[in-house]
Amino acid sequence: MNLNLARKTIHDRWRNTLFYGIGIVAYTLMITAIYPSFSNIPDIDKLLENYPEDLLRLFGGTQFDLTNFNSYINVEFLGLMLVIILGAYVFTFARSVTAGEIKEGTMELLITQPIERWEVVVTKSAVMLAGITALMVSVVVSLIAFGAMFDVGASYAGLAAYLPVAIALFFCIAGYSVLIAVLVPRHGAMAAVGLTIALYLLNFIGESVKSVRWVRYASIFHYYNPANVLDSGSVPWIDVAVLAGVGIASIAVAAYIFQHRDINL
Amino acid sequence: MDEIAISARGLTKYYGKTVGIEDLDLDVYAGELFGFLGPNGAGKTTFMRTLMGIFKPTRGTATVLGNDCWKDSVAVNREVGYLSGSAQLYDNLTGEEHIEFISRFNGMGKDPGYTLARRFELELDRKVEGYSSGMKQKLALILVLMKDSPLLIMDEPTNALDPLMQQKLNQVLRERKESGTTILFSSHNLPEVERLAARVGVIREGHLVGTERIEDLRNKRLRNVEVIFNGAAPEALAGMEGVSNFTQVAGNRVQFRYKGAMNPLVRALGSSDVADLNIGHASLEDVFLEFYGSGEGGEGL
Repeated sequence: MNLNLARKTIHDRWRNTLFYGIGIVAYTLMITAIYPSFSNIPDIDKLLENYPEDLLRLFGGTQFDLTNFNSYINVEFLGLMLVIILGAYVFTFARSVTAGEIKEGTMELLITQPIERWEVVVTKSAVMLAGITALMVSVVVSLIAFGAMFDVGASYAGLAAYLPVAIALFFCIAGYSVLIAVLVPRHGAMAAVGLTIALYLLNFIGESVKSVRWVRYASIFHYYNPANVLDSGSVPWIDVAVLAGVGIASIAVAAYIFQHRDINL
Repeated sequence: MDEIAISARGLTKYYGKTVGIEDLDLDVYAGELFGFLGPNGAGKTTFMRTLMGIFKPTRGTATVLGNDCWKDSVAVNREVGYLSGSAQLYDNLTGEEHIEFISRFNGMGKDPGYTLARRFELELDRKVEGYSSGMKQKLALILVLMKDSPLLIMDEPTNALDPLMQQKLNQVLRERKESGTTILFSSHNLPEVERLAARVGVIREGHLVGTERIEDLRNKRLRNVEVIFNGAAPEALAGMEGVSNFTQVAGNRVQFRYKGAMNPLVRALGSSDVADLNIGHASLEDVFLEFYGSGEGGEGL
């Protein structure tokens, strides 16, 4: 961990992180504010019951109960929309760890300073983890605050338990995105987006098709189940460990590769 | 025996099947100002990047101030001021922020950077995205020179600098040499190397084709000759020993390069009716091309 590079990375990313934070809090406000009127639409539950179960699953859950804020926020926000919003943040940040500097031509200046190359990967990834944590804390805090403001019956324990799972998920995505960017610098960001979509669909297929249910274990989204966490109010530590473990292992491999191979400047 | 600052032995770098540099042997002595000369794509940048541990040698070894260029690359980076020929700066940082960033890496204060900025007349309070290419090059030079390293490795340091700034840089490099700094710099411009370096190496297609002291090059006695005859030029002149690059510009006007003692040439011309004669010392570039060959399809030096 190099403090000088960490300062520089924070300098580079804080505005971007702030704008994501403002956007995400605004979205949280909107989604929470419309919940009371949305949940009062007569027979909306019956309407949704007519939707195909697989379609509901694709958007984050099959138990769509609009009288329950946990279920609502899972389907409308945490199950998919948050993954898209924070995914975009993570993909762009992960690209900047190595591939972005290589493309912009600044990597040569950086790695000819007295710093190990692995430190570049680890330091920037640590700052990215801090950014993810800050954004997820702002999501959870704003859900709690706006939930109280609009009296939607949010589960504070559930939201608190959800926080480490979400951080672990996005750290996991960040980890393999960094690794892919090290392996294929020119196409790393798009490859990471593609892999994430593939993993999301893999979990969907595993959940929907009984004969291949086992494939869901290969998807990181199998270990990210906001509805269950919000309802139970307890942290699924095994899921957190799996997601964080994949993230840490990916960054460790990325750091090793970046240390030992030529950089295509 | 002089202390060696840079030593390469059989240093080779391939990019797949493409040769970057191959079997390169070179010693640069401590305190020396060594010019590395070659056309674009000859391997100068590959050699320097390999010395700095950016590229892993395919085979061979190189030590920089006693450190292995690949295994001890952090030590090399700590002790060497390296100017890339193509590295970019951070567009979102000001010149001052660059100086702060690089000085923190090297555990030093910012004052040397500020002093150099005044000398190179560079505004530091603007973001680099608003800099011209010449200003960027000045800042890149400041970031290298402010480290006050015992060894400078600089890839085409005068790129994008106007003549006045080139002079200032040359002055700074001479001062550094006076204070004992070893300097290896590359260029594809031989007159620039001639002005600065005491010794020069020529690289072409990844191979070091020779090293020479600048003084020795000057003593190679290569001359460019132009003769205008009253009447047709004598045919025997083209086949004379020491004559090369013979060109008949017009029926009575010839140009050629001549290597060797002058008396045989004067005697040969004396038997003809010469209307005009122009003999000049060939440039070092011509000397190099004559002695090391331009290579097929080469760009020249």
